[in-house]
Amino acid sequence: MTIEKTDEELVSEIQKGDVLAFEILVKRYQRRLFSFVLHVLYHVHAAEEVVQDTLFAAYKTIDRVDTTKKFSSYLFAIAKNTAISYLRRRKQTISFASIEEQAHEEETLYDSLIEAEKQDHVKEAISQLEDKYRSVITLYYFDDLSYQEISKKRKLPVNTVRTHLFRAKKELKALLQHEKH
Amino acid sequence: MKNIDITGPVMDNIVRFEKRRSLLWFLRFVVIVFTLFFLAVLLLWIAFGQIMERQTLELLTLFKEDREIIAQFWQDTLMIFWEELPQRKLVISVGILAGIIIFSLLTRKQRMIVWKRIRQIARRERRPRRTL
Repeated sequence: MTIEKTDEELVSEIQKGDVLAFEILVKRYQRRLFSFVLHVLYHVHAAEEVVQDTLFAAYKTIDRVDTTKKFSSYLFAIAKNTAISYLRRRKQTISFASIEEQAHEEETLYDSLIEAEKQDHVKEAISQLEDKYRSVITLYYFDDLSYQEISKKRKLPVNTVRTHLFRAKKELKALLQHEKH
Repeated sequence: MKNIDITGPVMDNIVRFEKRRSLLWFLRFVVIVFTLFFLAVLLLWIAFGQIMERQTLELLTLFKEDREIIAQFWQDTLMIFWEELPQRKLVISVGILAGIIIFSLLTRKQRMIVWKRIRQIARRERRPRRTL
């Protein structure tokens, strides 16, 4: 049975010249990155393009990556910035008014997150949540895990995960709305 | 959720980028080392030319003489020999050669990394592509 290498081990190998080790990271993260970016851009081809750019940018700067820190955080930060740059290039704006026209609540939350992120408040708002809500929000929206996966990871019943997520979203929306005013 | 597989395009991009970057690095390294080596050899060649012109090496024929003569004149002879040498050129060329050795030692780790990358790229290019 082969033991899967951690992200940090793979990054360390890539820094030592193992280019092909990056392929493992690509396969590991492409789906989650795509899901994350798609929630921002709502366009499949654009999301694919942004994910490709993200992974390429991550490789180009991999020598600067600190292997003592989480690689996934670094990758998602690049994805977020690349997606926002893409939107700016396309001169698209996300507003609460346009969000209210859409029915889906998750997309509304993502738009709220991106809008607030532009003003640099999202991290602060998430950090104000209780630990149990903060971890569920992060795992669901940024790591793109399903309810079952979160339930397994956090050792909670699935219904508890759903409840935590519902409350977390409510609280986060309130915090972001409050900061907006 | 849509099934996405962009591994191929991403790795193709990376391989293209890395190939260019690694080959450029090696080219820079080779150019630096060869330029310095050429400079050192040129200086040595000029210095040697001057030595031959001045017939400085003739001074060393003292050491073919009898022991008594050598004992009497060896210090003065060596001093004159040293003064007649084009010292500056010799010191600079030896310094450059030492610099090449130090440069090679300092870049050894990076050279190994770049060489490994080039081998990996060659391995990937030899790999047969998966087709549907």
